[in-house]
Amino acid sequence: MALFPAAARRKVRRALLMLACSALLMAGQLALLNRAVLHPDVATVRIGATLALVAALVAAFFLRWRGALRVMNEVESALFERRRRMFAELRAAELRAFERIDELRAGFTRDIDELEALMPVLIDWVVYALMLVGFGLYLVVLTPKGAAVWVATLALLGWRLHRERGEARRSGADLGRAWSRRRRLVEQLVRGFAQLKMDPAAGAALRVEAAEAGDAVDEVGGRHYRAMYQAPVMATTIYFLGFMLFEPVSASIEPKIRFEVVTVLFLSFASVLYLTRERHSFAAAEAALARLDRLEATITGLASPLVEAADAGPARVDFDRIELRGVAFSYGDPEAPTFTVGPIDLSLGRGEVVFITGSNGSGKTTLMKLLTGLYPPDRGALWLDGRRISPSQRARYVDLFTSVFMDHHLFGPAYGLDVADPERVEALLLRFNLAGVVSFEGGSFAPLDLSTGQRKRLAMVVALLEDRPIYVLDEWAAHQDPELRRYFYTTLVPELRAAGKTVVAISHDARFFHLADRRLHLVDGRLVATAEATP
Amino acid sequence: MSDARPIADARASVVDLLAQVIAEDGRSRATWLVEVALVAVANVLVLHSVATGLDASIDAGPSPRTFFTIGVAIALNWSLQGGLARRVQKALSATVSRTSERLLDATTRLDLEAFEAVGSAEILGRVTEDASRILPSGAIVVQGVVAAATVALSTLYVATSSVVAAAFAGAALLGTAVLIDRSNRAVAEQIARDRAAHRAMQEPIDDLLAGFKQLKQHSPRSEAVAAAFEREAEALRRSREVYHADFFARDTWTRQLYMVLLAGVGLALPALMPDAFADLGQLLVVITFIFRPVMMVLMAAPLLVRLGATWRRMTDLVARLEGLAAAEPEVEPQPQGFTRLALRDVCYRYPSQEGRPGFTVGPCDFELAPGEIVFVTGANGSGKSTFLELLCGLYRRDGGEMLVDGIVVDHDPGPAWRCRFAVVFAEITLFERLYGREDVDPAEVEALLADMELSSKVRFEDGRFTTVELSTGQRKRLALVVALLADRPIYVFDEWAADQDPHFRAAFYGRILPALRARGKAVVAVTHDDDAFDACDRRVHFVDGRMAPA
Repeated sequence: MALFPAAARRKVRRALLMLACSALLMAGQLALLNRAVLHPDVATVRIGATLALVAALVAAFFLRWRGALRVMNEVESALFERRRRMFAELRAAELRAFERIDELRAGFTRDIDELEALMPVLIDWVVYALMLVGFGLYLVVLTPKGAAVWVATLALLGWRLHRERGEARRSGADLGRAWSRRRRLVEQLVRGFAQLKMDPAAGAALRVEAAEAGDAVDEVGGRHYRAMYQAPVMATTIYFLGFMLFEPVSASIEPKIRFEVVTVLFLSFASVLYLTRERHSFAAAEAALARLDRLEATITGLASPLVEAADAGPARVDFDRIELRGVAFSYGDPEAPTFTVGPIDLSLGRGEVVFITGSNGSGKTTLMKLLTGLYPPDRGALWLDGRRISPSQRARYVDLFTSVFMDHHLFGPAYGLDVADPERVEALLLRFNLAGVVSFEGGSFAPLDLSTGQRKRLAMVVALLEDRPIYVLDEWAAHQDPELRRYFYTTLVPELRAAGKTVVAISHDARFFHLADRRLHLVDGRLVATAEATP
Repeated sequence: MSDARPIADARASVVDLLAQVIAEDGRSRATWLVEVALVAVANVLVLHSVATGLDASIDAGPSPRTFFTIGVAIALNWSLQGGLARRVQKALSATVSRTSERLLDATTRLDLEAFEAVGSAEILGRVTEDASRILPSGAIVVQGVVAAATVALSTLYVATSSVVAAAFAGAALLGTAVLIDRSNRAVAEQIARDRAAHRAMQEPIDDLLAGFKQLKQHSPRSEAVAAAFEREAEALRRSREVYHADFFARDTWTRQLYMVLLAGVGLALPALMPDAFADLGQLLVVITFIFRPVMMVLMAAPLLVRLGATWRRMTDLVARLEGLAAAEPEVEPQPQGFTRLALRDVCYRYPSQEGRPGFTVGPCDFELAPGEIVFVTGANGSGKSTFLELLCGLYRRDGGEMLVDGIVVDHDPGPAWRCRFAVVFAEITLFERLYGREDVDPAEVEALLADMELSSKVRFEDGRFTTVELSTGQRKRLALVVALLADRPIYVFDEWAADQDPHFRAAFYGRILPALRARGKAVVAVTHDDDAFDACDRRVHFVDGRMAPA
């Protein structure tokens, strides 16, 4: 397992040794108890065994408790360390690379949580397995022949369980698929409630399909759960069978130690059943760890120099001119790209207001990401005040911008914002018709489940609080009512310009195009002169 | 104790679930009891044959009677326990599915207001997460019940030799169970605290994943999120250390309790009551034998309580939904036309919140005739969308009357009213299949897809769209395709054009709406596009819930 860093491995080994001692002590306790009870007449044996038993109980308790705790704490430390590392690496990743990872959230949280939850089971599993070893040794001392029968019985059980592994895994995968179909259909049924209310025939048809998916879950589940309940039944049967096999041996054992042997057989079976029931836990933990390793390898491969450079000093607050010279960016395979934006030449001055237009899929959003430095250009370069921006300077460059994206995320806490003056925040909320809708208390905005128009307005409040030299806005006005829309174009944008801010806005509002200093029109990823372009 | 009540409820729910499973299987309770008892008997038979074998003299050789007894035990165990588990699993699956289906049936019979009051997350959680949690429980139920029966029967078996010893062992077992139960409850509180700490750590992670771009653009914000993550992660790690120290102490103690009990019986009993049990060795054998079923019961008990709590959530929701739902499912009525639709003084009041009166929409006076195009305008939150819900018959009016062709419709306008409308809401769900319209001509669908410039993204094959994973604008266009295929007399749009580029926006007002009018369709559209107002015949404007002619 690559779970532990090398330094922790020695500690873990020592903790495992403690667990092993506590497990072996279990057989020792039984032996001492038998000694104490078996020889009620020999006082020295009885008292000596009793004292030793008490000592063994106390020792086993502490060894098991501290051993398990140490292993768990080391595992937690390792997992927390991994969380931190992944968080830091992810924060340093390139946007484009970040966008390509699937199931990031699931992997980040689910796999680590699963490993944490499995850990106590794994510790128990190891302890029970070692206990079994202890019982085996005890048995060898009592009756070597009996021990041989015991081992043969366990081997039989192990072989049977091993044979079923493949089937359980297959039916488990089938069940996962059946559930995901059922879940999807039920989700459509519930999320599309209002629509289906308008169309009962569609609702009835979807309802039938969801019920069929439910039947499929039952059918596949029946197969999969069979493996779960059959294994303990089989284990019990083989255990009983073991007593049958033991019978010929039993007769040859001295009656005095016979019942000692039986107590070992009985107690050891509890371990066997536990090991049987939880036999898939190691495989599950290994799979989770492997998924986590893969995810981390992916994330590590994404690291960009952006973050390191960000520590180089305060954000730039000033600029005169930004230029894109021959900047191009391609999606898909670099040899045969599916879509290319550029090459684009563009120059932006301080205090300029520029609108970007173009149809869906013409490359407007990609151009925004290139302009703001979120995507590194495949070709060409960004220039700031006549100086070419090197990759390591990109982080400083990015800090010139504030944006409101289409898929804008709203943060609850005002992370990194200057909110020393809550009245200013309240005034901005009031200004964007959010007073009474969103409150700002204790440094956090709440609630955040807002309509699209409201979300964008809150995003604008945050953008104004950020107070950066360049505002990049993606169809900010699209979901606002006409009054707010007019306010945006005729009051807010001129205000920003007057304050020396540069505004780059994707817009479809032809009526207000005259308010821009310039308009850039995109067709198939290229800028075209707006004189010929019809809005 | 604050959590005593839910635990008692959960226990009652386990009993309820078991009763339903037994009823589902169809066999009488007596049959079940006998079968469970026989599996326990099989266990005691093994115990008996082993215990009596201990008395045999050394040269007696293998005893045929032992072989026979164990053989019977194996047969009983294999045939009965396996069968029990299979039947319980089957009946459990059937019970849970039936409950899930009842839940979904009741959901489809709700009206929109009741549905919104319950919330989609609640329904989804019960039908998917909870159902999937209960389904695998067949094995643990059977093993727990069989183990409990085995413990009881073994104690009885001891009683045949010595009543005092049985009482002693029974009391000790009970004491163990009580101690462990207490310990489990104490842990529950810590688990709740741990979950809260975990959620607090999750928040900055979610912020990083969902707000990645924005963090890239603002390094102080990025630093602040990272600092919040470090802080919460460290807090969680520390709380975990405390929790684990406690957890493993309890866990270890629980597991050793049995050895302590064994030692107590073995050492204390002869000292306290020398004549209570003739052969102490045999008593120890019995106690070691019971160890396994006792551990099984202790493991199964908290799982069963959790199972009961989950089952209770499901049945509570079923009861709640069935209380709210209409008696009959809605059937697709015959498509009906109309010559004039009217709303007179119709109003709707949202429920009051914290003593403040709820927002009121209306009174609305509104008329609609075939071939008319009406735009609805007003600021965010002025009541436009509520008006649409009223017009479509999804919300029930609190006052006024609704008429079609001069006839007043019921308080609940019902499917006969609703089936006149084809709607594209602001928030849409896209289905891959054209449910309820299986006889559609694929060529017609393809033509509409081409018209909406979706052909390169989506195709219609084997009665389903090849994908519904599209951008917002494309999703709205696909929803429009589906609405056009429905071919209903009235079309309702909620800000359809807001997510479209100028080209499609122009097409919507200049081509699609006039084409609908030409086919005699009426259109009601919420819009903010004041440069397109000349595309409508009439406009109604909302201010603070009141409708004003514009």
